Amino acid sequence: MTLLTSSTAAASRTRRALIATALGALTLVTLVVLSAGLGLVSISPIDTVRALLFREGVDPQHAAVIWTIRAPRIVVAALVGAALAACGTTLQAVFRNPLADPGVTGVSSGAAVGAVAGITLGLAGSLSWGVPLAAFCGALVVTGILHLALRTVPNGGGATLILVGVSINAFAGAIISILIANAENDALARGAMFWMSGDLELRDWGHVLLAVFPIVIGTTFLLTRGRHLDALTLGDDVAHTSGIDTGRTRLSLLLATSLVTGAAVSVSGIIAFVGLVVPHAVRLIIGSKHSYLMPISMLAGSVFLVAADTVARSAFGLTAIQTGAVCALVGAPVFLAMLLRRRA
Amino acid sequence: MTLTLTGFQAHRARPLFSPIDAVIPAGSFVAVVGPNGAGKSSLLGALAGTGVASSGRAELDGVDLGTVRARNRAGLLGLMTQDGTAPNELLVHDIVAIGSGAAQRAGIPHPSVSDALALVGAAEHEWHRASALSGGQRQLVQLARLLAQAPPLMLLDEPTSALDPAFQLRALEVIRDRCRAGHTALVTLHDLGTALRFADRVLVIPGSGQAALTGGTEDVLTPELIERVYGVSAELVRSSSGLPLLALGAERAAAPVRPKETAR
Repeated sequence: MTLLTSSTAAASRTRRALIATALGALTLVTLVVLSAGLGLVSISPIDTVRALLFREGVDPQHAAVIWTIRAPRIVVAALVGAALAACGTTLQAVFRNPLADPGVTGVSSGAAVGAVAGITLGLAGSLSWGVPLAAFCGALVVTGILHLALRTVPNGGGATLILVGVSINAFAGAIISILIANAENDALARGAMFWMSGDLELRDWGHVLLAVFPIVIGTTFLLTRGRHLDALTLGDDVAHTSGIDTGRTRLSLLLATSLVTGAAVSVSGIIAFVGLVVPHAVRLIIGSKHSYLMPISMLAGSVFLVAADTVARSAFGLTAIQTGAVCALVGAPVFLAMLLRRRA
Repeated sequence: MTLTLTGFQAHRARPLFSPIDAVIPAGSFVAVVGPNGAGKSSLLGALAGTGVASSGRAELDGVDLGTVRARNRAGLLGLMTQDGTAPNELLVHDIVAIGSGAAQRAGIPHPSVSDALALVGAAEHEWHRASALSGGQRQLVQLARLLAQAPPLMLLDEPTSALDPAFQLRALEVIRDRCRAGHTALVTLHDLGTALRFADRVLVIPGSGQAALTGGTEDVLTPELIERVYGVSAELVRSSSGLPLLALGAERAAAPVRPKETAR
């Protein structure tokens, strides 16, 4: 009897996860088609599908708009969304704090400092991997600071994590402003606004190429760490006596998070709250077991950022809205609600 | 497995107690008692290797616990902390499965998740979120996780602090049953009556750097020792059914002087 109820409950959760995955994938595909058709030149969904699949049977100009302008931007959005959701999920388990997110904790800011410094030093021209590499180093410094600052604080630090994040963000913002104000490099002409608020305008296939490998490698690793992440949520002491080498596990998780965040920030600037809102929403539906939470959060992160970017570039006509601003408009109230509920 | 401590000490900046030498045979239920701040939790942490500094040796059947690898460690010892009862978004099943999974990878026999939950009387919560449970229920879940890991050495830090009397008895009986099956349990306890009733050995950490004492519970945990260690008078009586009962703070102590606790 017990065995029966156990297996049905387990099966129903697996089924729910599969349904969520299928729905998420369907939503993503639909969204990609709609998004590729929306913009200054409006293209019907049927023509969009034709252009995306066959590149034929449609107005060549439309195909060109889709393939050179919109498709890379959508792919970058999907990659960055999945990346940030994976990093948020990881940081929340490592720091035992549901409010952790690459943006809030300052990991993205660290990556942005690295990226801007990399461009200032001329790495963008001579070495295409230089910028994401520099961003990775910046993110790594911040995850190191977080690790040192929070390991002595019980239960993930609660508000301490946020306060550490505030100070890191302020410090990084100041460095970015100084670097950009004194830069002679054209690549930084987009200014501090891009880095601080995150935008996907003018993304091309070069950006996709730059971000795709580190994000795929890093998130693939994170996808295999479900068991470790589950154990870490019980605290280091319990994880340590449950067959987890906590020191090595934390180090590898924070390295992977830095790699993925660095790659995402290199092509999108700082987009905050995706890593916070998305895992939170997914938890409500399929729970917190990381072998389910991680892949579904990544999928939902892609959906969320592609949707946010589509809204940013097409919903307000000629009024320019940054992708990061749309995410913050949605994410900041959710963050506030979570913060207040946690205090209560 | 026999736990052998040789000059074992836990440190927080300086040694918390004088070196412990003890041989604890397999199947012992050892109550770890002592005043607040004496280092009971730190002793468990040092044995578990969770970042509490230690010196001396702790061996389980000759295996040095200080150098054992993470995966093998889970097959030797398991830990139940007070911190582990913090709210958690995982399902109860997932938390207990961390224990059984660790046992599986370490290659030791272990009960299933639902059996471990049934042992502590929390079977109906298997598919609930741990965050929706009360503090006491979460404590039962942590105990079930440790039972599902079924390590030869169980380290439990105040495992019954949040439980009602019925569940306290049940939890302690489950731990004692495990000991009778040959597992060793080191259990920190503040309730000396519980120690007298359930533990067959006691490890007293008196604090203030004094030497630790170990031995059979009733031999060591005498009213004289309790007065000396805690500064409260104690009287040991028997209930009609023969259970040991401890009356603390009886009138005959004129002015009990608590040993000065070191601030940290």
